[in-house]
This record gives sequence, structure tokens and C-alpha cells, in this order.
Amino acid sequence: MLDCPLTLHAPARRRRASLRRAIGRAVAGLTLATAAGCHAEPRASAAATTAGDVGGTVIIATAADPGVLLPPLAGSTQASAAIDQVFDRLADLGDSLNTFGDRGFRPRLSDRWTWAKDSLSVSFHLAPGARWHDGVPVRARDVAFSFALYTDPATASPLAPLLSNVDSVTATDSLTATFWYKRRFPTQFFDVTYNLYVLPEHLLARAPRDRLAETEFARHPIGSGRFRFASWTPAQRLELTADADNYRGRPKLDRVVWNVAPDFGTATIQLLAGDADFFENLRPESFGQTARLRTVRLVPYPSLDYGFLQFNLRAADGSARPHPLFADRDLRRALTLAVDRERIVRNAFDSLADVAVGPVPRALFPDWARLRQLPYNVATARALLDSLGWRAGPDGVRAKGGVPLAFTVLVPTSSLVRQRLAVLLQEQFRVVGARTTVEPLDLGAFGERERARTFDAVVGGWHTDPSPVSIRQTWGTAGSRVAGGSNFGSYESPAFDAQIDSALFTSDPAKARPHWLRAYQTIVDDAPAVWLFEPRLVAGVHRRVRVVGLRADGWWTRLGDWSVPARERIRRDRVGLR
Amino acid sequence: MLGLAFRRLLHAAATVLVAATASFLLLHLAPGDPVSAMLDQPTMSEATRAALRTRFGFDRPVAEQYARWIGAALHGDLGWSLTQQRPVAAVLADALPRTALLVGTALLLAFVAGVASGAFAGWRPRHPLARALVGGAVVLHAAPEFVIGLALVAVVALRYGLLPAGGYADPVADSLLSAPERVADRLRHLVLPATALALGWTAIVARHQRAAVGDVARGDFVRTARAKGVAEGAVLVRHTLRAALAPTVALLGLALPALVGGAVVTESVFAWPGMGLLATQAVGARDYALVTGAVVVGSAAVAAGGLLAELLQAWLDPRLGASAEDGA
Repeated sequence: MLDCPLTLHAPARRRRASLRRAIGRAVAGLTLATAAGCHAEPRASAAATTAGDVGGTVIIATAADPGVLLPPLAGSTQASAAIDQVFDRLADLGDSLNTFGDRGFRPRLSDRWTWAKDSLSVSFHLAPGARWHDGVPVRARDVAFSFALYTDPATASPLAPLLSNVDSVTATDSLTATFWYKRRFPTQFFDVTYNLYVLPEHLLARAPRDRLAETEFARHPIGSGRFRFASWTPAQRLELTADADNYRGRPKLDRVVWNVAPDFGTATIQLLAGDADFFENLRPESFGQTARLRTVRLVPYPSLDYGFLQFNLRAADGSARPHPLFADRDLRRALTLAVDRERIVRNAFDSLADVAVGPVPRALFPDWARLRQLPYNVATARALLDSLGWRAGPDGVRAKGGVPLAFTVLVPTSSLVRQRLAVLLQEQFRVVGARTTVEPLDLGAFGERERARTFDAVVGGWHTDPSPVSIRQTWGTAGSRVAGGSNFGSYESPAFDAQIDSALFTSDPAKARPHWLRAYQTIVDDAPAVWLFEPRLVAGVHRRVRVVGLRADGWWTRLGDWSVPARERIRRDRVGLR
Repeated sequence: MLGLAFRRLLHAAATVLVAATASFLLLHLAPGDPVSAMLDQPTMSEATRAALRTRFGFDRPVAEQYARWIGAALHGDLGWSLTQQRPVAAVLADALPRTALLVGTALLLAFVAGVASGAFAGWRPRHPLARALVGGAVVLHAAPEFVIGLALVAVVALRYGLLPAGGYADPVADSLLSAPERVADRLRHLVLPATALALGWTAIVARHQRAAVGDVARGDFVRTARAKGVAEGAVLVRHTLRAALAPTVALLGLALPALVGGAVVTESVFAWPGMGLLATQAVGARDYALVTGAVVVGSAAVAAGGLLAELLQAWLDPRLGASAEDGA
């Protein structure tokens, strides 16, 4: 088993120096962790867990309540983390995060699967020993029921569209569930394993689909995962305990407790004060203080997030008319050339982020280094603006035909980093004669303006899942024209769409790679956004806790394999299972 | 007295109604709605969003939503919390006692410590400790709750690890502790937030009490008591403090709403799961029903506290009750 800690114990004389060292070590740790294959763990097994190496309590500080523990309705990462322990998917995405075909996937609720010759159906053979936590065996009809529940419009699951390629699910026998697809698609296996948790039919069959959240099950979920639900006090704490007889092997920990804090700062304090053992996302400003503690170490891990300044290519009044500034590709390119992305990212994140390469995190795009970026070049930006007819006025702001080169940048007040980025961008645009006004908005209003397309530009960000399919929603024409689509800037490029479609419909990942490269190159050249940052995440972990498998798509994927060595246990580790 | 109580009750009910209506309208007129705040995912179709809005009635005109809400509220139904997925009344029933405990403890601390230190400072104004108390009161009066709270967390919890940095109880206390130990654990968690909340009002009470004791101490009856040979301690407690306490009690009516307001900040700093923290998080998530419910219960509690203070004051000094009865 590999553990990838980053130990910080040297007391620093100056806070700044301490902070720099801590960040430097975090980055180095991240590199080493990646190089050492930190995430390539063997799967857990009952055999690996012997009496004596099990036990312990891990308290996880979290900055938000899970909200709902029903898999079809869950939308937050806090809920996902807990749900993934209590419920099971049919198979697990492997550490390579490959979503094409079934390569790299690991057995979970199904111990094997069989494809039809035409690849239009796949049969999952369930583990015979799998039991719901109330003792009832897990059966194929539970799988069929779960699919029906997720896709019922009355349930209103946000995940339903991701299962739309499945025509039906049938229980071939008590332990075999077959998924019948409408068409072949490279990520069809990922779609039904990653997006669908199997739910107990015998407990939910009579629940009203449109009021699932109000059922007793929603407050006391019963799953088949390695942890059992124990208790939940909303907005305070959620407790899971080990399912000692689980078919996938007993978790090494006895219990996991989520301690809900009102915000990041309070969650960090819980970790620093020893009230919590793990916090998934320490902010750089906490590094210096953490570095002085002997009880906490930093564990870096990759993310699937990226952030950008998005231009609205349509008029900011929400109509379909072109935007007076950003409909012009060359103007967008000129503004992109004016931005020193490296400096901005260093200023906002220090070493804890990379400059984004496009609408995709590096972890999902092995060819990212081959993408030609628009360079930072103020002289070229000025020359390009001159050639486009934008002339500087007496106040230094360029104008053309009476229209000033001025626009508003929306930022959510919930993100200090995005506000900081907006201010830095404002200064860099000023240098080339563009005037920007930063408009901070509360998150609800920010989202409303995005969806209504009533903005000039926004500092936005996406957290992606491992499947690249969502890019059609976020940057493709489909997401621009369909009501409710998430391509808020209305970027539409037939070339980009065609390459994305080719990539998504090519089953062989190696053959799909050139299409991805061409698609991303197209959008980078068209500059519908200035690609800004790709954060690196750093978790704070109590020294006695051995964490494994902090994966980009979820730090919790191997929570059942975390452990606390017997000799290092403290009082709360000795509670036992009760 | 009864008439005064009745009029004040009507006044309190009107206050609650206005506060609830204002919060309802402000929330509903702001851009965005709870569905947007809950499920902002690129995969969610517009049809799903629309279905959720219809299910929760957010697609109806604001006036209709208000009429429905007020009708249900009058029957005791405060609605359904979208963030906690349970009835608002149940959520508030969990949170209210914790806020009451925090505010009640802070109130007690502020008045006991404030009266004691103020009385000493007024009684012995030239004593070095009295001067220190006066200086300290000025600083504490000026410092906001969150500054005091963060300072206490930094020093007491983080630097010396003497008390928990936040929360209502140890996350595994239920498993580890016996019932008396559990009570002790709750009290340990209560100390810092209650102190942070109380210190500002301790200073205010102390300054009032110091002035009142100073005034009373110059009174003829105090001089007479001394001349009769009454012991100095008895002069202070039996004669001076008793007379100087009535104006300080009047502060209760002001302190309660201020402490409830301060609890919003203090609960956030210390992750104390009471009404303040609940309301703050509900506002962020646009949980209309929960915010409005919190406003109703919070303003009712404040109004009730104010009413209680007023009645107490009228009881202590019947002249106040009489003038109120006269419509003064």
C-alpha cells in the first residue's frame, strides 16, 4: 500500500517563509505522488483486513452539509462522498480515470460483466454475497428498479440525462442485470456504472417518486456499501460505521464522521485544533499555520476543475444578436494576448494552481502540452487592436465607431479567488486600452445572469466528472442553443462540434486523441474564453491517519482502505463498533 | 399591568408579521431561486429545473406564494426546508434551544460580570483595578463579536488547546461519554462562544452600573447608612446596589435583541448550530421557507424577551407601568 503524505514539521521563523516552503513541498509532493503512482492501489479485499489492523475513527471537517443522501437527488461533493460509502455502483472507475470502454474498471457490486457481440447490451453478474444493510440480498431486480427510479421524470434526477442512452434494464436472473442500449457509444459502460448507484427495491418501491426526499429512507439510507449509515444531524454531523460483514471486505476504519462547519475557515480551524482529522481542501493562507503543527501533514492531489474568463458572444441583453465586442474573434484573441496568465495565476494561487490549457483539466487530456496557446504579448495585442480599428481616446480607452472598448466582468461573491482574478485581469486589460468594471454578485444572482446570458464576461469555473461528454453542454453548440444549456457564452463552432463528436464516437481512446487535440486547438484559437487556472488540491490530514487513493474525481474513493495504526490511536479511535 | 401586557403583545405580533413579510419579499424579489442554488449542474435539463420549480411553487406569482405561505404559517406550518429536506418547524425546533442556551448564558454572564465589575468600579473609582476595568470596558465595547471570537479561538483553542474551537459537542462524544460527561462536554463547547457573545455587553452593563452606583453612592441615604455605622459591604450590597440595579435591568430589553443579532456572527465563528448559523446558511442557499421561518421565530423570541424585560421593569418600578397605562 502506498501512502502519499507530505510531512511538514520544520518550525518557520517567518510566516511568509513558512508558507512558501509549505507550498513548495506541496507541489513537490504532488509531483512525487504522481510519479510514484500514488493512486494505483490494489483493490481492497477481506483478506487484506485482519483483526488488529482494523479500528479507528476519522473525523472529516467539511464546509457544507450533504443536504440529501439519496443518490438520484444528490448534487454536492459532500453528499457524493458519503453516498459512495453507503451505496454501491456496479463497477468502479479505475485509477487511470479511463471512461472509454471498460478498460481499467474494477468489480464492485458486480464481480464480472459480459458484453453482447453487438455491444448493444451488457450483463452484470452481481456478487452473490452482496447484502443490503438490513440483511436482504442484493438482486438484479434492484438494479432494474434503480434505473427506473433514476430515469422517472417524477424523480427529477439531474443524473437522468446521463442515462438517456439506455433503453431498458432487465433482470435476466436473480443475479444478472442486463442493460440494453439505444446505440453504441464509447462511454456507455461508464455512463451506467459511474452515474447509477443501486438502490433497494424492497425499501423504496412504494415511495412516492416526486417526494423521495421526504421519505424515512432519505433520512436513514440503507445501502450495500462498506459503511453503514449510523446517524445524521443535518448541518452538524453525519456518522457512518463499518459494515463488518461486507462482501467487499470490512473497512479498516470503525467509523467515519463528517463534522459540518459553516465555511472553509471554520473547517480549517477544526483541523488545526485537532477536532477533525481530515479536510479536503486547505487554502494557501492556512499553509503557514499548518506547517507549524506536528499533528497535521499536507497531502496534495489533482483536481478536475478549471477556471476561465468567459466572453459572451451574444448581446448582453439576452437576445440572439451578436455582442458588439466579443462576437469578433480577433478582438477576443487580442484580449487574450494581453493577459499574462502565468503571473495572474501565481498571484492568485501561488504554486497551488497551473495555468489552464483549455476547457479540460490536464488529468483528462494527456496531450495537453501539444496544445498551442495564445502567448502573452502586449505589443501584438495592441497591434491587433489597432488593425481592427480600435483607437485609443484621451482617457486611454480604445473606441471604434463610438463604441468604447469597455465591458463588465461578473464574479460571484462566494469566491475570493475569482474576485482577485477579476481585479488582476482588469489591470492587464487597462494596459492595452480596455476598460473593465468588476461586478460582484451573490451566487444565486450570478447563476441567474449566466443562464439568462445577460452579461459581458464572467470569471467562471467548471468541476467536471471524468467523462468528457459534458463538454458538449458546456462549450458545444448543443449547450448554447438548448434552453438550460450550460454554454453561457454561446460559443458555436461547427469545427469544434465535429471534432468533439468524432472524439466521443471513437471507441479506441488512442484513435480519439487526435480528435480531442484538434477540438481543443480549435477552441483555444477561437478564444471564447481566457483559460485561467487549474487548481491543485491539498488535503490536511492528521498524522496518525493513513490515507490512500485521493483521486482527482473524488478524494473518498478508497475511504474504506484508510487506516489508523493501532499504536497511534487516540481516545476517539477506541470507540469500537458498538 | 394587564393592559400593558396585552398592548405589547399586539405590538410584538405586528413586529413579527412585518419582519416575516419583509424577509419573504426581499428573498423572492432577489434574482435566482432555490432550485438554481440547489442544483446548479450542467447535466440538469431545463425540463427538470422547471419540474422542480413547479413542485415547490416557485413558478407562481410572488403574491400567491406569499398568500399560501402566510395561510399555512397561521396554521403552524412553516413549510419545507429544501436544504435540510425536512419541515422547517423541525429544523427550528432543533436550533432554537441551542441559541436560547447560548444567548441565555451570554446574558447571564454579561449581567453578573457587568454588575459586579461596574459596582466595584463605581464604588472604588480610584482603585487601580477599577481603572483597569473601565479601560477594558471601553476596548470590549468597541470590539465586534467576531473579533473577540476569533481572538478567543486563536489563543484559547489553537494556541493552548484548552477548549474546543467550535461546534456544539464532540463528534464522537455520544459514543464515549457517560451522561454527566456529556453535559460537561456541552459546557466546554459553550464557554468560548458564550464568552465571545457576552464580553461586549459585559462592558456596556459595567459602564451603566458604574455610573449608577456612582450616583447612588453620593445619595443622602447612603451617607445616613454609613453614619449609622452600617458595615461598608452592607452599604454597597443592601443600600447602593439595590437602588442602582433598576436602571441596569432596563438594559435587558436592549440586550436581548442585540445578543440574538450578535449570535448570528458568533454562531458562524464557532460553528454553533443555532438559529443564527441556520439563517446565515439558509440565506446563502436561498432556502426561502427556512429563512422566513427563522425570522418569524427569531423575531418572536426577541419580542417576547423585550416584553418580559418591560414587564420586569414595570414590576420593579410601578411608576413605569402606570405611565405606560396612561399612554405615556
